[in-house]
Order: sequence, then structure tokens, then C-alpha cells
Amino acid sequence: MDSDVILVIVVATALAFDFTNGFHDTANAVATSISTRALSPRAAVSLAAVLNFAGAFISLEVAATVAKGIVEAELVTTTIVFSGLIGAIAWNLATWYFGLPSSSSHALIGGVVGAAFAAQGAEAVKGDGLVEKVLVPALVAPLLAFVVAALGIVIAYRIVGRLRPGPVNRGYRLGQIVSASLFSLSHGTNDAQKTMGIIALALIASGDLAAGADPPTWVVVSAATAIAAGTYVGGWRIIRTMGSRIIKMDPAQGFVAQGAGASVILAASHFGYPLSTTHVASGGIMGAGAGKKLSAVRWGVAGNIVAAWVMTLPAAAAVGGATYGLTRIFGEGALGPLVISLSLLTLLVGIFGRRIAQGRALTAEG
Amino acid sequence: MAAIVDTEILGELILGAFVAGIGVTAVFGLVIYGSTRFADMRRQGNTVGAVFFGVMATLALLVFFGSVALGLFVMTDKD
Repeated sequence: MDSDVILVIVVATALAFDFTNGFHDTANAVATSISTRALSPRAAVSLAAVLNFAGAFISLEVAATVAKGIVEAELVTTTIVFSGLIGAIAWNLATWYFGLPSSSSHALIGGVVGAAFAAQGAEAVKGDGLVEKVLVPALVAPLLAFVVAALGIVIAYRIVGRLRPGPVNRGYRLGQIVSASLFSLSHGTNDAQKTMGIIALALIASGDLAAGADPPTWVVVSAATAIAAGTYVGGWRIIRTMGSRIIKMDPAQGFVAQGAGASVILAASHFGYPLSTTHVASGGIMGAGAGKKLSAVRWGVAGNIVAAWVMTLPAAAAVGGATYGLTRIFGEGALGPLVISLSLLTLLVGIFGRRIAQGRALTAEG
Repeated sequence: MAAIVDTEILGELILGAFVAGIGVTAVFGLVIYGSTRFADMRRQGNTVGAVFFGVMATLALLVFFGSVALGLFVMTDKD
């Protein structure tokens, strides 16, 4: 009975994480298109939502384990996964509140690492895996996207710099629709898979799914729906930061930031290198600004974003570890996860209800 | 550090990202350049120039959509 309740809670929490992942990362695909008016805000999030949904069905590969290669897989329990998800959700919500783009994948890994550490001690965490799959990619992704976008915008201005701005801007706005679509589709193939992997892991742990089996259709559909719904709702605070607070961009910069970003992500997919779409998208925007003029980038905003990236892993780990500790207060059964889920839900309903009542919710129109 | 990080894959990634990222932005720049100059030449009645830039824009557009198709292939071919 207890294991069934925990399973239901983990599935619901994983879908909640998937939703926050969607609305947190909407900005990666749509911020530049909205900023340069290539797409209206509502059209941009609708396109991104549909393509994230479709993307979830494209790739056949599903992550078999959470934080594979970073924590000892055989030591991971459903309670650890639950605590890791709470850590990731908390960090996603905190960074959304401050309008800071940060990696949902790194938040999830941080949450699971913190919970595993709290549960099993240091031997549960693989330091080499953390360096290889989190720290090095966190350095490579933004730097690579920055340099590629900076060179890209220099070349683009060389080619079209003497032309009339009207047709040039119209052309780049059309190009942005294509690059935003690629970005969204790519995001769906990568990020919805994580939630499918988490739910599949919980189903395997509870004996409802054979190890190595494909996830059931309801898992695929629900993960795709959750990420698409989150994308459609849109994390407008982050969209505003990425679209207009880092640089004030023209359509050429918007296209180059997205085009370079999509190329870096697809190259990383091809070579099997795990890069965060958020780090790549942010690096691309900064590069497209710096390639035009270094002072075009608001380095204070960029610094805040980098600080959020640095804090993602330890902050999500701290919440994940603390959540695991709290669940243990209520014993080993389902009571701990149940109490924590209900508390979090009440808190969220309170916060969002208050904001909506005050009419201060940020929306596509806001 | 080198033992932890696969420098070969990292090198391939950096090279691939540069080629794809800069290639795509350059090719799309040629699409815009060719199509804008095509319209200008046609307005001026310069048929030879219009054909030249029209062909340039068309070829660049084909390469651009080819790279998009390659991107879709990479997405579906993950393993």
C-alpha cells in the first residue's frame, strides 16, 4: 500500500517537475523571437508548446536512470528521487521568480545528488561523473555558444550590412521562426525524456515495469503533455530577461543567437555530449550582443545569470537533502512524501492565488 | 582532469558547433543578400544580375533547409 502511494506521489511530482521544466525553459526557444517581433508572444509559446509535445515522441531513447553516472544507481530509492524532484522544482521556481534562466537538468541532478548524499553518504555520489557530466559541460556550453554566436553575427553583418534594413529584418524574422522551431523540437526530445526516465525508474522500483522495458504509452503522453502545458503557460519573467534584459537585439542578432544555439545543441546531441539548452541559449544571446559591441551586453544581468548557474547544483542539492531528511522524520513509509507534497502544493496555491488576486501575474500580454 | 573529460569528443563537438553554427548563419545571410539584391536588380531591369542573385538565394536557401533537415535527422537518430 505504502509503495503504491509513494509511486503515485513520485509520478505526480515528476510531472510537476516536467511542467516547471517547460515553463522555465520556454524562454530558450521563444525569447529572441518575441523580442524581435518575429512572432507574437502567444503564437511563440503556442508553437513552442506544440513542438515540445511532438519532440517528446520523436526520440526512442529514454534515460534509464536519474543522474546516471553521477550517483550510484543501485542506491537510488523512490524517496531519493522524490526528494531530488522537490529540490529541482524549488530551484526552478526560485530562479523563475527572479527571472533568471538556469538549467532544469542541473537542478534535477543537484536535487538527486543532495538527496542521495543525505540518504547514503558521500559514497553514493560519483565525483568524476559530476565533473564530466555537469561541471565541464556547464563551462563549455555557454562559452562555445558565445564564441560561435559572436563570430556568426560578425559574418552576418558583413554579408547584409549594406542592404536596406527593411528586407533584412523581415528575412531574419522568418529565419527565427525556423530556428525557434528547431530549438523547441530539440528541447522536447531531450527534456521530456528525463521525466519519462524518472517515472520509468519509479515503476521499475515498484515492480510495475520490467527493467529495460520501454515506458508505457501513458508515461510518454503524460510527460509530453506536462512539458507542453508548462511551455504554453510560459515563464514570462525569464522570457523578459533573455529577450530584452541581456541585450537589446535586432532580428539578425536574434536569428544568429538562436541559429548558433540550435547548431551547438544539435552538434552536442550528435556527439553524445550533454549540454544544457539554457546555458547554450543564454551564451548565444550574449555572444550575438558582444559580437556587435562588447558594451551592448548588460554584464550585470549576465553576471547574475552566471551566479545562478553556479548556485544551481549546490542549492538544489541542499533542498533535495533537506527534503530527504524531512521525509525521514515521518518514518520510511508514504507519510513523509505525502506531507511534503501537500505542504508544497498548499504553498504554491497560496503564492499564485495571491498574485492572481492582486492582478500581478506576468502573462503573454504583460 | 583529462582522464575524466573525453577530450576527443569535446574537440569534435567544438569543431562541429563552429562549422554548423557559423555555416548556418553565413548561408542564411546569403539567402537574405541574394533575395534582396535580386529584388533590387529586377526593379532596375537588370535581368542578368537578377538571375545571378536569384540563383544565389535559391542555392543558399536549399543549403539552409538541408541543414535544418540534417538537424531533424540528428534529433531522431540519438542513441
